Amino acid sequence: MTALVAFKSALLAELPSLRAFAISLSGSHDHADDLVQETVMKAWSAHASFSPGTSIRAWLFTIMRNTYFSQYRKARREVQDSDGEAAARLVSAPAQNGHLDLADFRVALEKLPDDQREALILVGASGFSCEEAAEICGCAVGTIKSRVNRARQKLMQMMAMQNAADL
Amino acid sequence: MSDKKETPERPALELPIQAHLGDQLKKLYGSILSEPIPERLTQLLDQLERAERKERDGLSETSDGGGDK
Repeated sequence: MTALVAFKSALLAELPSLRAFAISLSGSHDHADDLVQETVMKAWSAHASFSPGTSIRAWLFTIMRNTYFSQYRKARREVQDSDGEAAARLVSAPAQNGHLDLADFRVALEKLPDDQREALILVGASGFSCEEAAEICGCAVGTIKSRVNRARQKLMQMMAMQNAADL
Repeated sequence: MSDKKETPERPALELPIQAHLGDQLKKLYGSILSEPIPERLTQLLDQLERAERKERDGLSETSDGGGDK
């Protein structure tokens, strides 16, 4: 029973991280909270498959990204396709000191291919090493590195587009 | 884990831009991290815990009347 309490409080402690990953991955608060909910439910019923002593955050992120890629990506795409004006906004928004402001950055992030955005978030924001990110995504370390590099290049290109008047 | 050695030819201009993008990403992520957790998520954990306790109690006490939620 104490194991149950410990597991529950570990999940509770990871909720902010799970939400941050879900929101930045899916680009939507509504989808994200559904995604977190489903991840928590799956984690709860898969409790036995978690090996104590390993990173519970990495374990939860693995469950979440697998859920996202198998179920949520389609929904996200539909939303994304319907508001293509985000792209227009990005190009026409006034440049601010040659920098993307946070709202614009968010739009730019959402425009990245899913796998590149995922790699960038895991390594650049969630604090995972490339090795850990590779394990979470089930791919090679080199794949993570090249996804992160491509994501950075694309963000730079989008930024250059926005700031074309400045440069 | 420095990526400097992977792309040694990177133009100097890119470094401050990349640093800025990295900051923006961390800022965005950090702002989400500090949002309050929706109640439905914490309640979900309470529900899961209750359900599991009930199930375990039921198993140890030769359960009856398990139909309620």
